[in-house]
Amino acid sequence: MKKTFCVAVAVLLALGASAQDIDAERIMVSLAAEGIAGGAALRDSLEAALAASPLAAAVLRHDSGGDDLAADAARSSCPIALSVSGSPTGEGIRVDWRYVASKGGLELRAGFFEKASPGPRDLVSSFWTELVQDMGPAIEALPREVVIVAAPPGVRVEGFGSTFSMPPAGQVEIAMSLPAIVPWKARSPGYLDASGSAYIEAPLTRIELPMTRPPAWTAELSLYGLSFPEARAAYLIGKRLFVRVTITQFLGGLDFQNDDGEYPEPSSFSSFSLLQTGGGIGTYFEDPDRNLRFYAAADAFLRLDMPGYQAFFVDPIAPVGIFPLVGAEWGRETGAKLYFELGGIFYPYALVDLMLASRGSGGGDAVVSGPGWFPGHPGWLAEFPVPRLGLRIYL
Amino acid sequence: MKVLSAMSRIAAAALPALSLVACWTPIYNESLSASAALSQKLAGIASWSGEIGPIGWNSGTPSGAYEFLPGRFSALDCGLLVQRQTGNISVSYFGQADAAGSPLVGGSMGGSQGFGAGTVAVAAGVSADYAARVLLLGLNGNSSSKDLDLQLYYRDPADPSCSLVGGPLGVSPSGLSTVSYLVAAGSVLDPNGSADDIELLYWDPAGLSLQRFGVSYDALGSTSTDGPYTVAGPGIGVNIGSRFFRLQNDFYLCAYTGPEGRETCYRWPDSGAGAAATLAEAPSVLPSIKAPIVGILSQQALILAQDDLFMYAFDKAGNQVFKLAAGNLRFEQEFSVNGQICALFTQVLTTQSSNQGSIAAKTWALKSASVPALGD
Repeated sequence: MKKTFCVAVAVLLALGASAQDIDAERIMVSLAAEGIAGGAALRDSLEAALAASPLAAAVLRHDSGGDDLAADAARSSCPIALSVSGSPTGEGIRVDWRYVASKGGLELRAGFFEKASPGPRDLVSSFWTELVQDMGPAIEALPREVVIVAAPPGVRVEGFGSTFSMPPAGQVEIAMSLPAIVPWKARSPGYLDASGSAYIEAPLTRIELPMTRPPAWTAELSLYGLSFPEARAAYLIGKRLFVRVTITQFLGGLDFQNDDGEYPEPSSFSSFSLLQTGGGIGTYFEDPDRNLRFYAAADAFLRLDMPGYQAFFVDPIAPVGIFPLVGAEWGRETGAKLYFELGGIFYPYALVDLMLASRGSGGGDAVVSGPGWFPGHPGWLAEFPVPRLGLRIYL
Repeated sequence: MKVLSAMSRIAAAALPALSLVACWTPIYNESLSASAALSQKLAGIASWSGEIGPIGWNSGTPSGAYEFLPGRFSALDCGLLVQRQTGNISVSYFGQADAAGSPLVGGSMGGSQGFGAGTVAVAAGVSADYAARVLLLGLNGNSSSKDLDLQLYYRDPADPSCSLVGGPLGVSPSGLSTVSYLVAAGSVLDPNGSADDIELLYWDPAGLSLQRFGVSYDALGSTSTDGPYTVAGPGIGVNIGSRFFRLQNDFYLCAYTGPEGRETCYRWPDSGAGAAATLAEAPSVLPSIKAPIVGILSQQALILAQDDLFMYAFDKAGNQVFKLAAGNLRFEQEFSVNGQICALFTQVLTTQSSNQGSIAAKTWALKSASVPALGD
C-alpha cells in the first residue's frame, strides 16, 4: 500500500515537473467501456487521474455519446476532447485513447495499453499513467490562435498563460488555444486593481481589460469638533496620497453642552467670529477598493479673526495651528464615505496667557473650550483631542 | 441618487451620537484677540509699557470687565482695579507684592482703606489724574438718609508702597443737599501737571447741576469750589456710573435716557465762557456715537468712545474719524509728563480654572499725537 502510494505521488510529481511550462487547459472526457464490469468505477478513476494533473484546468464529463464530443467540448470552452474506449481482452482489458482539438477535430495524440483487469487499488494508483502522461504532449500539440489583450501601458497582468507588463503600445498578442475561459488580474499604481474572466472563442479577439483610474478629487463636509461645519476638497495622488484644503467656520455650530438646569435654557447653537483656513497632506494605509480605510494626515491652518464682523485680520493670539490626526473612512458606496478623524492641535507662536484667558473668564464673555487637555509652555500651546466627523464624496 | 441615499443613511446614524458629544468650542475670544491686535500696534509705538502679574486670585471668580489705573508709570508695581457697574463702583488694590512679598490683589478698598463699613458707592464717578494719584468717589455714607459725601483719595508717587495715602479728604461741596445724587465726574487736564479741576455733575430736586473743584496735588486739601451751575439738559437718570468729558469747553456725556433706556451721548456746546462754562445751553444728541465715551484726545480734538470690541474716534461734531479693534484693551485717559500730553491704554486679563484664577494688568503709554495712527 505504502509502495503503491509512493509510486503514484512520484508519477504525479513527474508530470507536474514536466508540465511547468505548459498551460493548463480545460478538457472534456468521454469513456466507452462496453462489456467491462465496473465501468462506473473505471470512469470515476479516469476523471480523478486527469483532475490530479496540474495540466488539467478542469475535467468535464461528456455524457451524450461519442460522435459530437469535439463539438460539445468546444461549446464548453474545452480546447481538448479526450475519447477513451475500453474493451475486454482474454485476461485483461485494452484501453485506447485519443486526444483531439475540440476546434477542427485535429488529432493531437493517441495510444493504447493492455493491462490486467484492475482492482480498486490499481485504479487509484497507476492504471491510467500512460494516458495521463500523454496529456502534456497533447496540449503542446494544440493549434494556437492569436488573441489581443489591451490595457493601459504599464499595467501588470496575471493571466492569459503568463504574467506580463503592458508595453507602451497598450496591447500584446498572445497565442493560446481556443476556446478558452481566462481568469485575469491587473494592477497598476495609477489604476484601481481589476480582475475578471474572459471567454475567448475566436482568433484575433481583442480583450480590453477595464482599468479604472481612482477618483482624483473628493469634496467633503464635516463637523470640526463635532460642532462646527467645515468644507474641504482633496486631491488624490495615486491610490494612497492626498493633499487637501479646508475652510473651517465657527460662525455657527452645534453646542449641546450640559445646561445644568440653567434658565433660560442655553441655545443649542454657538457662534464665534473666527475662520480657519489651510491645507494638509496625508496618506491612506489601504488601497481604495477597501470598504474601511485608515489614514494619517497633518493639516496646517491660519486663524482669521472677524471681531464684530467689522474687521478681518490674522489672529494675533494664535496665528497658526498644526493639526496631526489619524482617521478612518467607511462606506460601501463608491461615491460617499463616512469618516472620523481624531487628532491634536499644536499652536506654535501662541500667546499662551491670552489663549488661557480665552478659555477662562477673560474678556468678560469668554467660553471654556473643551473637553480636552491643554498642555502648554511659553510660546506654544497644544489642545487634544479634537475630533472631526464628516462625509467624503469621491468625484 | 445613490450618493444622496448614502448621505441620508449616514446622517440618520450620526445625528443621535452627535447630540451627545457636540460641545467643543474653539480657544478663541474675540475681545481678547482684538485687544492683542491693538497691543501689537501699541508695542511698536508706545513710549512706555509695563505689566503686573499674573497673580493668583483665589478669592472667588473674577467676573465682569475691569479697568486698571496704574499707580505710576515709571516703574509699574501697583495700581487700582476699577469695576464700573450701573449705580455702583468697586475698587481694589492690585500690586505685584507688598513689603513682605505678599501679592496684593483683590482687597476691597472700602474695607481696607478707610471707607466706613456699609459705605456704598451710589454713583459711579472715578477720575484719576496723571499718575493716578487721585481717586474721586461719590459715596453714600448712609444708605437710608442718602447723604452725599465726597471723598478724595490720593497716592503719593514718591511712596513705594501701593497704599493710598492721605485718606478721605472729606470734601464737602457747598450747595449739595442731602438728597443729591452724584451723576458723573470729570476732570480738566492741566498740561502743566500741577493742578487739575475736578468737576461734578449731580442731581438734586432743583435739577441737574455742575460744580467744579480746583485741586492742587502739590497741596492736597487746598480745594476751592466753583458753582453750582444749573445745567440745561434732558431727563438724565441718576446712578449712571459715567464720566463726562470736556473738549475745548464743550461737554460730552453719555447717559441712559428716555423710555427705551438706550445710552445716548450729548454735547453741551461751548457757551463762550471759557473755563467758567456753565452748560446752560441745551445739549444736542450725537446719534453717531453709540458707544460710551471713554476719553478725549485734547490736542487732536477727538472724542474716543469704546464698546466691547471697538474703539471709535469722533470729531467735535460727532463724525467718525477712525475706528480700531481694541477688545478689552481700553483707553484710560490722557496725562501730562513735562508738558507732553500722553495717552494711557490699559488691559486687565483674568483667567479662571475651577475655583482658581489669576489676574494681570498691562499698561501702555504713548504720545497722544500717535493715537490716530492706530486706526484701521
